[in-house]
Amino acid sequence: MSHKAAAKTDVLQGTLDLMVLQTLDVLGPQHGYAIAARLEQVSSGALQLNMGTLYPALMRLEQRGLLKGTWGTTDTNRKARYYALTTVGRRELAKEKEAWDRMTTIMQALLQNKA
Amino acid sequence: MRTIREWIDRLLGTLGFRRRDFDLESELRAHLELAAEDARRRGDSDAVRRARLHVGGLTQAMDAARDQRGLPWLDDLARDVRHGLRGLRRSPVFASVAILTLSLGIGANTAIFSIVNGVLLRPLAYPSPAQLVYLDTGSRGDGLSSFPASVAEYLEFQQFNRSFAEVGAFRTGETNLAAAGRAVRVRSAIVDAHLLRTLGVQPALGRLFTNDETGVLTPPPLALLSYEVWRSTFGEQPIVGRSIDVGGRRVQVVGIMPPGMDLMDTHTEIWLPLGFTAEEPRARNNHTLSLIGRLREGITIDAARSELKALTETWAARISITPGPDHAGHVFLPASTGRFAHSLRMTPLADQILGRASQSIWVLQAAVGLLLLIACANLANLLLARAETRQHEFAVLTALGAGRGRLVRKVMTESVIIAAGGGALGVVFARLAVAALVRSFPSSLPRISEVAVDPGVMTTSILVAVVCGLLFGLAPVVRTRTNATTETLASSRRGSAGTTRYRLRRALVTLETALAVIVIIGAGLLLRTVHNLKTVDAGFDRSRLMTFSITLPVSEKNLRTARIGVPDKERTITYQRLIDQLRGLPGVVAATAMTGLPLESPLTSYQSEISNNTSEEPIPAFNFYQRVMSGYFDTMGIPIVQGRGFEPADEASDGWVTVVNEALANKYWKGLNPIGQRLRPGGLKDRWFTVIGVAKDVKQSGVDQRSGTEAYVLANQIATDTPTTWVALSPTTLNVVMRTTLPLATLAPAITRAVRSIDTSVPVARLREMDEVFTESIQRPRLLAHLLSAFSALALALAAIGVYGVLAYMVAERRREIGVRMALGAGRARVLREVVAEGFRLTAAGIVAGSASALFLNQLLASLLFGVRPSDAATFATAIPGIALVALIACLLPAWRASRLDPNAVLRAE
Repeated sequence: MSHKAAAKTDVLQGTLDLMVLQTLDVLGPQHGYAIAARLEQVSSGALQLNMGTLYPALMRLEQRGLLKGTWGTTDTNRKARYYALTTVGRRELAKEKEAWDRMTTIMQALLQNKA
Repeated sequence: MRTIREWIDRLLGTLGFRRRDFDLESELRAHLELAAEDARRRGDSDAVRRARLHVGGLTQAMDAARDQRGLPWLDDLARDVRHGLRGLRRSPVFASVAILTLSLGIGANTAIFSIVNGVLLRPLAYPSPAQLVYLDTGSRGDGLSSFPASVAEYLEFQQFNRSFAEVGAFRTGETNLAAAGRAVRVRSAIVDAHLLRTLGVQPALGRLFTNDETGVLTPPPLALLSYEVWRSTFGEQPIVGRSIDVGGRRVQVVGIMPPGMDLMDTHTEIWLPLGFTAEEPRARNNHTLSLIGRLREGITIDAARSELKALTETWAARISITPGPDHAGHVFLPASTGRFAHSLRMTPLADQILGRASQSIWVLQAAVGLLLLIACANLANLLLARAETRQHEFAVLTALGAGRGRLVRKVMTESVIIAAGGGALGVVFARLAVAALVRSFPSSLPRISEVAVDPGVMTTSILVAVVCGLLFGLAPVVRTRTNATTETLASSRRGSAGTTRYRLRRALVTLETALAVIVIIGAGLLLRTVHNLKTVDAGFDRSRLMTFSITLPVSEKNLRTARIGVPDKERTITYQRLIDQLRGLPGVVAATAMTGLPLESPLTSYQSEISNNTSEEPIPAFNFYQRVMSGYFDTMGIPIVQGRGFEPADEASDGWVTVVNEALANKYWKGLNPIGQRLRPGGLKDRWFTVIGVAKDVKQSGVDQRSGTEAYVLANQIATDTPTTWVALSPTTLNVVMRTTLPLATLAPAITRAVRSIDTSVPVARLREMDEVFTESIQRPRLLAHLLSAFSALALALAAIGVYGVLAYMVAERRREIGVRMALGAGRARVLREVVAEGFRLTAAGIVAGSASALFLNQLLASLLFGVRPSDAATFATAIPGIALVALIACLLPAWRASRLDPNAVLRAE
């Protein structure tokens, strides 16, 4: 694994979790593809998640008990694994959002303060 | 941050990865299909390929997810172990030599550590054993290191002291037990209720003795049985409350002791109540009690000692006695009173039980420690050699991108596998060794029945093995790291000799040899010790001599008499009848009996009056008072050096006679003619013994002990119906000795029949050859010598393997050089000589270093040796050439191989 790739994943990791949690909070239980499609749509195509990034993240969140995955059927009658926020997940989302807000405020203040 | 939950989930992921792999794959496939569906919906003609491009490959995603799901390092570890095992299977010789080497070291170490743990480290089987203190008395000038307390001293100490929560008294002995129509000899402990409370013992069944049942004039006929006797002799029947036959009396069993309960490592089988005669509390010169005390909570033994010191100052005043010569040795008096000084001494109970055995055990532990070091050095050598042959493999791996850490792990895993294998096999060896040891030396060490390989010992040894493996596994890798990869690759397979590495391996071999030399010389000294003990003149002829012990019952009537002991001339007459019967047996040349069996005699010391005493001893008391039956000196083959032995006429004669040994004559009548001198032991008021002869010294208490002063008297002559002192008592137990022409097995039935014909309730105890008594008496030095010899052989073999290994490697490394030199005309003999010389340099350094260390270290053995000094030149002179010879043999094979090299083949291979 090259050095560059590792760095990129690291940057994504913190935000990706928040994105996934937020998506599930807004849309309710969704399968992995729907989450990726939603993120792509919201970012107007800027954020294209491949499976190698998305699924480890989903797994990690499930391992931490923030998500719960169950097998279900799509409207096109396909088997897919649906992820739903757990209570812990919802709490974590609120916390992460707050932290994110704080961080962006700080970053904005920092970046705009030219003097 | 990773939560615990994530870790657990990951761990489960690692353990059950197959099922989850399938799940994951379906999930990813669904993702792909959904993407393709979307693409199709958008009208893409190449939907599937486009989807794959868009969301990434399935395999990569699986890998990424797997890393997240499981614990990658654990997966790696499992892979390493599999690879390691495969690698070891590919080099079976290396693997088996390494594992065997380590397992021998660990096996010996575990076995001996089990003994250390069972005998020395594990506390005694009583509650709070550290509080228990053994008490005996010592006097200035009585020549005895330890003496029991008198009843008076015991009762006074119980009353005066404040340091002990409880002090109890006991005597040990033997008695006959009749069960199921069969009589057996059992070891007895005669104890008071205080002693049982001191020990803190709780009965498994029934009850203990109470305060009013012991320490009284006539203790009630009660007994406690050991759990073991209850099981073996009475088959665990409900026996509490019932009566059994003990020493010819009906005795009620009040309780059963818990399993493993013992007293002073005597393997006590029956516990009887202790009684005091009416005189005993006043008869201060009658020292018969062993004492054990339990310190009060929070009181140290040192505090108890200082209290005792203060007590000793005022002891005489407290009991209203003005100390004088009569009281010397019988009243506690401070050191300031000079030759009258007499004191109670305190020893932690565990130390008292272990005695000198602990030293032997630590010597063994040290020896196996050295052995383990040798095994580890050998293992390190093997691993180094293996690392060298794998240089190329590692260089290739590194070139292919394997991380340093990965290489370290690979080698370390292999070392740990070897260590674990060695540890496991070592534990198997240890179990076998401990079982064999306990079987073949049942009584050579105190508490040996408590020895077993326990889980703690096992864990310790496996840990030692793994640490060894890690340590020495790492060494080669550290060396690998310092080598430039490209250099190794460029130099191909026959790299120039790694001189640093070779130097390290040489150093290891030299160290091994040195350690082996230390162990071997130690073993040599102990073998000489055993040889000396075997050949020492014990003072009698032990060839074709047989012995057994017999205890005649004490009659009920006599026990009730308040007088000392048993007025029982009858018993001596019975003994005489038995001896006459034995003399009539075919195959028996001569027979006699005596109180103390040579090599096993306890001290029987009485304060004595001695006519014309030339010694400086303030309170004369000779060491052995031997009561013997007729024909004693002839049967035993003890030469009379002056005067005469006992004759039949003496038995009926009124004037008591004695034969003394040379030691006694030289001590008390130096320069005088001992014949006709007189002595009066143990408070005999009106009778003197007149010396009629002097016998050669006999090693009564063991071949390694000096012969004590000894006086023999005729049991037949002094037996009366009303003895007034212990001295004139007819013995309850005698050791019968016979000189025979037939082997033991042939004679045994006739002997048993002869005893039965005298008294059916009397068992024949310990019927054996005198040679066996002899062997048993030197059991501990023999055990030590045998074990150390075995360890030496092991050490020598390991060192030889080391020498062989390093030379074989050197020859392989220098093939090319040797080939070239042979092509240039060097002869085979010369090559052979050079390789052997190289091997010799290694071992010579080791031998010199080892001998020097042995000279210093073996001083620690000094007190275990007999007739040989730790710096014994003969031992060194025998051991060193032996070691050198083995080293030479180890050198020869690689040297011969080198000399057989075909220079053509070697050079063509270039």
